[in-house]
Amino acid sequence: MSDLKVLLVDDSPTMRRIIQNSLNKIGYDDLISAENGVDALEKLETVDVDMVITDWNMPEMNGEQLVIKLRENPKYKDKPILMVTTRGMREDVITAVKIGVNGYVVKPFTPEILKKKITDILN
Amino acid sequence: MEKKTQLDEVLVRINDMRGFFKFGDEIIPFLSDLFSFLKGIIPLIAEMNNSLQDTAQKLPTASDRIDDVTKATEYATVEILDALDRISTSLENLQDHKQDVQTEKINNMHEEIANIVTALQFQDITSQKLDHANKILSAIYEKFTGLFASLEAAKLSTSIGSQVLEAIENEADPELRQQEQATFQQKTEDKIHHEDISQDDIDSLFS
Repeated sequence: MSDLKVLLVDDSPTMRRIIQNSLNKIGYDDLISAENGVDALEKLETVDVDMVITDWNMPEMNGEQLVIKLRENPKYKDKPILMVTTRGMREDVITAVKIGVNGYVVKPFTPEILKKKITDILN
Repeated sequence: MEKKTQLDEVLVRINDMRGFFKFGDEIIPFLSDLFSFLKGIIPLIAEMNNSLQDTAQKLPTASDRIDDVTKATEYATVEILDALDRISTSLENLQDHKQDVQTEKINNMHEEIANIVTALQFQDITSQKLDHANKILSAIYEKFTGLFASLEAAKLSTSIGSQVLEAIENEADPELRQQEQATFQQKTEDKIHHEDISQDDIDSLFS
């Protein structure tokens, strides 16, 4: 098991559970969850994490807005961020790169793909 | 001189009037054409107006149905995930007392469960697509509502406007309107009424 602490941000309870299962399967079990960007920022005020995995389409504050907010804050400007989303357009990926996302996975994904992306980002 | 001047003035006036009548000769056929055009188009606009109102009224229902689908699939997916968790736990317990022959089979089952969990991501993917369709429906509904409000505002702003719009409303054939409404209702009838009757009620009807 890894001691990596991950913040998982997704508005879908199903996806939170599936990603959590996948992360557990590949050795990451220290997770905290948030339902959207606003919730994630609130959680980050009380707990420090090693990595953020976020969806894009979410109510209140979406993944793009969350990443921009994080990158504006010196405390999180280098925090590894993996975006896991249904948005698979080239323009979306370019936007993600521009705002400072470190890795990008399009749903549906397998635990192996998730593991590879996490490893790539952390290395 | 004075008389000549007066005569000149009269001639100028007659000439002006001639010009006016000449202008009238040109404009009267145009107005007549415009009148015929309006007469033809007013029933059409009336029909469009009525159809749009019928369609707009259905949009919130369509939107609610999309939300229902999302909630139903989410509920079903959670149920499936729960069941898979229970199966996984049972398999892990079996693995503790494994025999060599069983090991491969148990591993295969774990793999199949992982595949099912991966496939269940469809719930989030489809719900996001439905959410997008829902947003489009909401935008169309807002547009329609705005158009109807603008129509009311136009009606109040000028007397000719109110007359034309009243003519449009009056021009609609009530019988045709009723027929169209009935057809539209039939085509868009909601045949799924989950909460209208319970299984017990159904069973009691068969007993």
